[in-house]
Amino acid sequence: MKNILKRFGIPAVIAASLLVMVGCLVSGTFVVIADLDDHCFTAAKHFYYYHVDLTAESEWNDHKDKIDFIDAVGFDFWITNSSSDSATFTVWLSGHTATIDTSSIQAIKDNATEVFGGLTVGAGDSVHVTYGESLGFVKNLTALKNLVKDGKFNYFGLSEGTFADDEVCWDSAKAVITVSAGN
Amino acid sequence: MKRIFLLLAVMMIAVSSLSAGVGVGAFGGLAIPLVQDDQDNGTAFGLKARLKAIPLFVIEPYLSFVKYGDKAIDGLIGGEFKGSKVNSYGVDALFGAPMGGPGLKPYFILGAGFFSTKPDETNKVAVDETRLGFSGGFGFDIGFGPTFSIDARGKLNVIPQKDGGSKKSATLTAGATLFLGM
Repeated sequence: MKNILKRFGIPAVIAASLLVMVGCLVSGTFVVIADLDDHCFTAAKHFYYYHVDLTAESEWNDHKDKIDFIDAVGFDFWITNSSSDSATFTVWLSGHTATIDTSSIQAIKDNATEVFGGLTVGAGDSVHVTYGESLGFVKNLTALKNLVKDGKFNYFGLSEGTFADDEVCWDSAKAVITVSAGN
Repeated sequence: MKRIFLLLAVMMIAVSSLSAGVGVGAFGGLAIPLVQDDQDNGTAFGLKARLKAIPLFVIEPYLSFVKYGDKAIDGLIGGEFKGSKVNSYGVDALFGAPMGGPGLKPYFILGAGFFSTKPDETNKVAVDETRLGFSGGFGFDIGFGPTFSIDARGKLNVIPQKDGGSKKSATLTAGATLFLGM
C-alpha cells in the first residue's frame, strides 16, 4: 500500500483537489416543510389572504444566506366542498413588498401570480391533494421559485363557485420546498 | 464543444490502443445520494470499455444508468419525492489499473462525463438538464488469468449546477471485464 500511495499520490491529490474545487462539498439539497393556515371561504369573500414567512422555519434559517436555487415547490392539503355545487381552487402569490389589494378577486389577480390552478372539487366532495399530485397543478414555475426564494411572500387562496359560508374549506396544508444551498 | 472534444480524445486513444488490446465489461451496484434530502439510495449499472493509454494508466469510457429510490417526506401521509434518473456517459482515467493479468491490483480513478438528470414523470417541477460533472475514487481488480477480471470500486460524483452548488453522489459497484486481443 505504501508503494501504491507513493506511486499514485499525485493523481490522488489531483482528484481530491478537483472535487473540492468544483463540488463545493458542503452544498446540498434540503427540504423545508412549512405549515399553512387552515381556512374556510365565505360566500361574500371568495379568497383568503395571509403572509407566509419561511424564515420562521429552522431548516430555512440554516441555509437562507446560501441558497443557490429552488429545486421544486409543491403542496399537500385537504380541501372539502360541502356545498351543492362544484368549486374551483387556485393559489396566487405576490412578493412580500408587493401591493396588497383585496378589494375584489380581480384586484388580487391583477397584483399576484397564479401558481396553483386547475383543481375543481365536486359538490359534497373532500379531496386530499398529495405532494406528487400537486405538482401537476403548479403554474408559472419560474415566478413561483423566485417568489419563494425570498423566504417571505403573500399568499391568496381563491375559491370560485356558488357556496355558503364555511362550505369550502382547506386544511392540514403544507408547502414542501426543495432548496439547493450551502451548509 | 466539450462533448466533441471528449469524443475525439476517446477515439484517438481508442485507435492508438487497439494494438494493445481492449477490455469490455459491465458493472452494477449501489447509488448513494449525498446531502440530497429529496433522494434515497438507488441502483447503478452500466457498460464500460478499457483502453490502454500508457503503462499503468488506462482509460475507461463508460455509460451509466442510476435510479435513485423514492424518499418519503416527513410528516406527510403518502407524500414522497420520486427518485430521479441520472444517465451519464464519460471517461475515467485509472491510475495503476491493469490490462488483464492475474492478481489483485488497486488503482485510483479520476474522470469526467455528462450527467443527465431526469426527474420521475410525476416530479414535473424538478431540474431536467445535462451537466458536465466530475468523478474520483478508488478501486481494485482481481484478475483470473490474462483475459478476465472482476473489480470493485467506489466513486464520488459531483455535478456542478447551472445556478450554483452541486449534486453529489457516491456509487459502490462491482463489475467484470473481458480483455480481447491480449
